[in-house]
Amino acid sequence: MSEHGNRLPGDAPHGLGGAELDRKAPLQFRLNGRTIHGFAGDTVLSAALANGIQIAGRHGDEALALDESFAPLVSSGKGGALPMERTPALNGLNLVTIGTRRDPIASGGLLGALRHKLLGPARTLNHRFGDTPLASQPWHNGAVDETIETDFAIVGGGVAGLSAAAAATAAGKRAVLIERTQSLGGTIRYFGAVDAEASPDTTIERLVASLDGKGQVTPLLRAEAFAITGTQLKVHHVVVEAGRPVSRIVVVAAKYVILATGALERLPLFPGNRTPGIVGALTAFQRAERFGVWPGRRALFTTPNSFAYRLALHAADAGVEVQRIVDSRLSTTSRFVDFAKATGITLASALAPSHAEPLERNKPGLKVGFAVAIDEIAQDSSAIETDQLVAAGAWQPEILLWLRAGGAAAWDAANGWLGPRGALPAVALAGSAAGLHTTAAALSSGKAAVLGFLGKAAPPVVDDVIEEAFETPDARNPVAPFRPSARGATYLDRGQSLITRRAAAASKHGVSGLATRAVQLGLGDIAAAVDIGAMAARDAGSVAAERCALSGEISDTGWRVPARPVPEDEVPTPPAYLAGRFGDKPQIWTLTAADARSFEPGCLVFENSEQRDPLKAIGVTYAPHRPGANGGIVLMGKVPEAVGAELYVRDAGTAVAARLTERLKAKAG
Amino acid sequence: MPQPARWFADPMADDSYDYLVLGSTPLAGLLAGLLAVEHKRRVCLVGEPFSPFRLQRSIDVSIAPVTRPETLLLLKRAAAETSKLVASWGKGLISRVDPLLVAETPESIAALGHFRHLAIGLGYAVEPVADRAVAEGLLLRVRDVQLFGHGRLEPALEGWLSKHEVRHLDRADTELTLRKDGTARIVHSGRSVEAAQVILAGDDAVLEHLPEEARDRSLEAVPGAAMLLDAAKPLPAPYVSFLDRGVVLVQDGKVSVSALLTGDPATARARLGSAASRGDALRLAGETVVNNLRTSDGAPLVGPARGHKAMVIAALGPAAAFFAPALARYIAGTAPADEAEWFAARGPARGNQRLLAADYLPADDLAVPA
Repeated sequence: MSEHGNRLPGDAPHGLGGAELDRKAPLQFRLNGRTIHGFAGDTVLSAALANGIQIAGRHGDEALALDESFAPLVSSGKGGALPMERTPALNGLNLVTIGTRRDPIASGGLLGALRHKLLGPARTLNHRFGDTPLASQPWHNGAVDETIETDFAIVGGGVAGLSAAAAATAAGKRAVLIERTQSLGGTIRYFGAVDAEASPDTTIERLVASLDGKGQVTPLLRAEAFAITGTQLKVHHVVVEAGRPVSRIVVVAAKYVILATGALERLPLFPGNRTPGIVGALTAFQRAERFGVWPGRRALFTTPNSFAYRLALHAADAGVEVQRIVDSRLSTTSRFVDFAKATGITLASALAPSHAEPLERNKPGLKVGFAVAIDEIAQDSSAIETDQLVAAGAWQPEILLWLRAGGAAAWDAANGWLGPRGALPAVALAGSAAGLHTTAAALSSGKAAVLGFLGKAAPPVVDDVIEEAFETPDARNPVAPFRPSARGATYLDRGQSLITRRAAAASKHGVSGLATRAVQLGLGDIAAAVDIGAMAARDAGSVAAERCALSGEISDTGWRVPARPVPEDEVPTPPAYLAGRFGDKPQIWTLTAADARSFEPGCLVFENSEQRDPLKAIGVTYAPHRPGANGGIVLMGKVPEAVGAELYVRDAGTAVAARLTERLKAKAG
Repeated sequence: MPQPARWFADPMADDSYDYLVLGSTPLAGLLAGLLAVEHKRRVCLVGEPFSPFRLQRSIDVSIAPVTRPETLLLLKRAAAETSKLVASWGKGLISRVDPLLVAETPESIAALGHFRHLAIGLGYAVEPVADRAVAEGLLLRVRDVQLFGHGRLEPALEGWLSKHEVRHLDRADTELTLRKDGTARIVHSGRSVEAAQVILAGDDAVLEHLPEEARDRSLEAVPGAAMLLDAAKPLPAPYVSFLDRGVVLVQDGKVSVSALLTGDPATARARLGSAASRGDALRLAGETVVNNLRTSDGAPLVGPARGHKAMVIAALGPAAAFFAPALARYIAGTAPADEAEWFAARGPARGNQRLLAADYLPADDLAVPA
């Protein structure tokens, strides 16, 4: 496989040739000792994928796909740990992935070269994932490099975020626009335009042009907001300094925050659903559209909605052999379906993936089985071999920052997702993150959020989806019937939790791994747990707030119990918890032990050596005796005799004879 | 006119309850169930559903570092009843552990030392432990203590309540009107019923439902948090309580640790790190705010609210759930004399009466923000 064998041509139709690449500017860098070829505009991850690295590593026996949601951090030795998907590929970098790796022959050196010659280039980053997955993101506890004060902090550079930024600048306000990727526009190009809507490119161009308003918009690309306190965001920003990618922590202190963080595409649930070669439809589109990356030449599509048809049609136009589009809906009405039929692509309905497995260990290609997707009926169709399974899933609003800001969430049964609930004083949601469906609603919600904070009237947000007669609604996330004997793990989500369906089910003790595994959960984990009945829908919002909205690690920072001054009273004051314990006129005495021992505070004093019932104690030691003397200071109620009276002190179960030696007077007050 | 049969299956169909128990912890569930099962009262419980997936807002253990012998004696008896009851629901709901209690200031060392001698006198097996890797000070291991199994207990508790027709309503779907005479109106699913006596069972219920002016003057809110952690190394004991750091840790699996933090949020993570990290960073897998109450004298508070006849049960500490059988008897009016006396001494502050029940209280400046 050539270093660019996993890319579509630069002039591929529908913009699938990689809009962010400069194909006239090739570059190369090293990753775990292997030379990676790419182009200016690549990220480290896109270049690695283009070079055939499809596997992040293994979790038990499972090879896990390298993915935008699941990629180890990389380090060049300088500039700190960096996320592969947000780090630009630069000529001459020498990067290593961070975490537990094995199989050194896959790395550099002579053995690496020999392996490369005999077996071809390694497809894996060779990580080993236990129940504790990838290295955590060190920037969560990092020092702040810069603070930016602004009127609006807008998270998400899709159309809702752009619309908010445009409204802010039109009102003469300052805005900081925080976008994870290295370009603006978000996912609108994947969804396309409906009816009379302007084309996605036109919409994006118009919005970007309108950022140049009365106010000022500062875009932060390759930037991820990871923490929010009130209206102050902490952002991890990857920048290039002196030809090297560097991590920076930026605090954006805003008056208002707009969260236009979009929606996540969920992982369909079937055994082997994270096998390398399986990719979400939105991710497949973005890889191609931004970087021209498309592994293999054959692809199978599976979907619970109509958008994947559009991608399949465009991929076919770009030269990909679309083997089949498999829809989990029974009967689908959609203009995309009509187009697909017209082009002769094989279509199937009421089927969903039942399993997937690699054709051969460490070789590209996989085998995918399908089963009837109605009413839990498990009737398998024959498996199909392919280079890539484009597996669309249901949508989940990306509300992590909303939860981190203190927002609430609840299961939305109508949409089958975990949606935001309630309101926060100076933080608003817009677009898909707010649970909206359409581009029109995303555009108007971004603007409305800004105008609302400025006390200005905004047109209502109308989220009219296409009528069912013309467009069959999305189905729920595909879930294969559960088979205990199935090979391959069914993961609940693409992220780092690595919770499987088997672990999520209640164990023989009746406890789900979701409850006991100490891993941070993803929103997709929770949505999937509700879908498979492992978690009650009523718990989903609260669990998400507790288990998803986290940041940081906890370590020993040197905190110690503060030293407390010891009172130097000659006669120590008895503690409050002894009040009334030995009558209303207790006495303080010194006590001398017969065996010259010192009594620790708290020993009970009895009249005879047989007694041990604390309720029958006549006193208690509560302070050490003066230096050099044995015994201790006691608080006494009933004093049988005066000086010299023999008593018994229970010291850890042993009765020790002792004598009262001196009555002391506590200081008044 | 006879009612349709389905109405009889729905306790909300009848027009009143003897008790409305408010709370979301096992204490509230156990109390509601015991009032229904042992004392034949009609009980409605309103709180968050008991969910195995939620973080532990209470870590329920049958021991507490108390310094009053009558409290330890009451706890010992009630805990034995509670343990027997819970164990009867199924396996794995309660386990026997040897907790480690850690005191690091002279005051706490003296109090824990006194607890040790009381506990030994009452038949507990308590031994000092020398492990400077844990902390310097006094470390006590208490043998054979009962600990509720999070994740397993919640469904079993829900099942027990359901079996005994204790209506458990989700507070999110329930509208409550609490009146000053201690009665309440409960509106759920469009239906309204009355309860003769409101019981605020636990700190969470008091903080949520009782206005500050109706709280006893001895009560004080204490911020806190519950966390789920991935710890590289196991804890030195299945349950560890650092009295002076406001940190309680429980091993909940090979590497999973549940933590409850009490006190100033600004130092919470630092205190937790100092108590639990043992050289390795702890990965945070869950976090939520858990506010608690404490009394200014360290003793629990059981009695009517201020200017209000709702019953308040607060500041019972880590063993709160294990007091449930005694609380149920006291509320139902069947408590033996010694129990009734214990509760009476821990009623609302009147003059110096509560001084005689004062108990160990960790220092203010360690845990509570200024």
